Amino acid sequence: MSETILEMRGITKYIFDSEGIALKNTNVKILDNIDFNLRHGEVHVLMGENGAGKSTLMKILGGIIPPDEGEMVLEGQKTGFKNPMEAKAAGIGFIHQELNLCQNIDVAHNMFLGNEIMKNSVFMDKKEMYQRSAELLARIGCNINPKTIVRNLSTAQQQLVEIAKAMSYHSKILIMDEPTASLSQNEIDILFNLIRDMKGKGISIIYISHRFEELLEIGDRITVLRDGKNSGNMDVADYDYDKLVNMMVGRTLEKMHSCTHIPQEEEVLRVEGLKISEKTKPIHITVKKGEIVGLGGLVGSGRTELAQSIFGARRFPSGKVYYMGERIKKPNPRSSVQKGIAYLSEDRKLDGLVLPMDIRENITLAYLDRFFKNRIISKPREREIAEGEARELNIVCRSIYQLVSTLSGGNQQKVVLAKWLSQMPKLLILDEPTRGIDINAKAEIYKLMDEIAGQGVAILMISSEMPELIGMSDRIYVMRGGTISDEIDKADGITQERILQGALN
Amino acid sequence: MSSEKTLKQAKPAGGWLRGFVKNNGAIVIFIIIFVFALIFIRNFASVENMLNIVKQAAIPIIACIGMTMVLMTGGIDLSLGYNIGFTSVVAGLLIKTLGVPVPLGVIAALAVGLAIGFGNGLLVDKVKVPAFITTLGTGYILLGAAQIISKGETINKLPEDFLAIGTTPVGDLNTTVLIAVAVAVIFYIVLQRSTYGRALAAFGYNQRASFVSGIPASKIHVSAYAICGLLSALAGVLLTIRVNCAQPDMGGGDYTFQIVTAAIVGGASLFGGKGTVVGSIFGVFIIKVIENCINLTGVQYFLYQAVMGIVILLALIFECVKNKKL
Repeated sequence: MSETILEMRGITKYIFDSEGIALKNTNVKILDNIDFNLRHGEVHVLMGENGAGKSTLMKILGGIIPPDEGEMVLEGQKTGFKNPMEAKAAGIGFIHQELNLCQNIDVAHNMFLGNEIMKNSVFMDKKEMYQRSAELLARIGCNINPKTIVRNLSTAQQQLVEIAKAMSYHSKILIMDEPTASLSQNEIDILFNLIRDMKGKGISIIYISHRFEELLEIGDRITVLRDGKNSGNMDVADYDYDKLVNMMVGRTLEKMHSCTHIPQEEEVLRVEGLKISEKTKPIHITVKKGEIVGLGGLVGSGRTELAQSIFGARRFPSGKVYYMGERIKKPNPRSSVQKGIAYLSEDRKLDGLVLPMDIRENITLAYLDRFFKNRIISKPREREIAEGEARELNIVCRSIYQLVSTLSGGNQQKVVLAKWLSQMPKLLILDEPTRGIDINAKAEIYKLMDEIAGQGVAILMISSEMPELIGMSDRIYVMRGGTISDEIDKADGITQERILQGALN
Repeated sequence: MSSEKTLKQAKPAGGWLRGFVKNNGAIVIFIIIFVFALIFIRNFASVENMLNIVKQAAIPIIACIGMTMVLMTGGIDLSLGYNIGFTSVVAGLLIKTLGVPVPLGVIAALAVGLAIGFGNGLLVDKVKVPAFITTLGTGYILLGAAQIISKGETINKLPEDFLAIGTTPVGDLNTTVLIAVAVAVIFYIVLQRSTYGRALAAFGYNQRASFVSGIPASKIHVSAYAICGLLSALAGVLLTIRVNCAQPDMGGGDYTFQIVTAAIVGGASLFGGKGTVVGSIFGVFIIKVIENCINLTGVQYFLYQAVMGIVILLALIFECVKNKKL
């Protein structure tokens, strides 16, 4: 039982630039010298904030990405995987958070995808495949018909198919990345029974989860990752809530968040009873002039949906949005932009930047009509605007004619900010404003946020980074399950523990 | 990942010549083909032949500018050739058969083309049917409708004042060429100089980002198809004048293919964003010079179709290679 099956030693993964070359001489690492071990037949829960490195570590174990440094020992043998097939062959099964089944074909064909049973080495032996699939499914106590098209299965059933598929490779280690994220309580019970069953058969399970109650129910040991480092282990038998939360968040807040802006009384945004989907509870929030309001919570808690609903990039079933005291009936990005609302999106490559265009074209994009009233673009004027903004935000580039796709993440983010700040908005919605950018650019963006809040701009900031959320916000709303679960004022003392509580429980 | 692809495109162009070739591929190809033709093809170098090529290129240039705008959105208009046939019949019926005054008839034909393009745009934008299928569908509807309203017959001997719109001599050329020049100038300003053109390119490169930036994405999208329809109708009217005959099978699928080829050769991308008026013009000239050479050497006409196929493949390969290497 206590015999070690897997040891990962000193696993390090550096951040890399846009061409995939590792940047070894920065302080920021994705994974920093991580040690991790797994025993026979245990359920090892892996915890940590978003971006702590859990998924990266598991991808290295699953052969999806290689580590830059460190070694893995599997059953006493030093090992390393070049690709997922090798990991699979070595007995490591990976059940991803997003299910990886082909929706349009049946269960059996999914289970043997890329590994079909052949007859005369030309044709698929369908009969054999259906029979073997049924056996594999039966082994995990599941009676799904292998001829069912996957689309027609529930999420939980699809998950069971994935597990059966992983078992068909005779997996000794099974990685489950937030398997319960989209399951109902009943389905979770089925899954947990199955996990106990597999445990009994000596299979080791690495279980990634955010939910405290689950680790108590199913886990044997816990490892917490924080900022790419292993911040501690704990036996579930010795479980201590405070100690665990401390492991997850206990880092020092840096001085880069020093703020001088002072929120004013005038309300810029008021959201009343907005539901981001039919099933979620209504949301009420306000943002005042010159105030930075943080929006915390886990990924998937509905923060981006709320932001996009307010801005109009997404439809919502019901609720009222008031801006500067007036109701916006059906928000859409065009009218929002014209009214002075700006939205910096979560994924700058997807909907923030036009990558094949240059810095200048990206900066003027949102306010073309306002810059060029007669609709003809004046090149000197455009150059003047873009160069002014580039200087203001300290965008590092050869010239404003450089394509944004060739810029670093931090400079790309500054281009998106420059676009929105080229005409000072009244409400600025920032969705993960410092995601994937280096520490210097981060500090610059914080300083800029403080400055424009000082000029009276209302800022609503979504962030998954605790220090940023706590350091910058005058007030924080915490979201969970599509609605607001807590509101914390700076005056009452914002703590990481309280935010986590709101986000998790 | 898409970002890697664009990254390669963005490598700094070393040297002036390399930059020119990268941004003006159509002009470079045109010069090469033109020089070859001057040297190897007999009778190519005559002034008369040159004027002939210009006259032949005028109408396709109008259509090609429309197609380029649609390609810039990331779509395609396969109904273009059928729109030409339909508006030809509409113009012929109104002006000859029904005796409607010429200006009114022309305006009506143009309005019909505009409406067809608008319909295409709405289907692609609102119903979100892929442009390829939508416009192929509307194209066949137009072909059928043109056959029905014309009863499958051609309408010839059109009124002189109608023909005068396109055939009045201007120096050694004619008013058709003049109209094409006017269209080219207007759309050069619209596409290369105006905020509309910038928004169109941004939309084509990244629909979501342009929408989130507050660009009226739907309007831009639909308008590109509408303008393409309008320019197709203008091409239809001018083609009717050129052959002095309104007929339902004018234009058609071959014509569409020729225009798409010209647009791609001219630097427009099937993936959206890219496209210029200068490129469209030289794209058409490349095709017309090749066509002219085939005519002059007297080889089989069917060779022409094969050559067009080769040209469009080469253009696509060239685009991929240049994005990687230059």
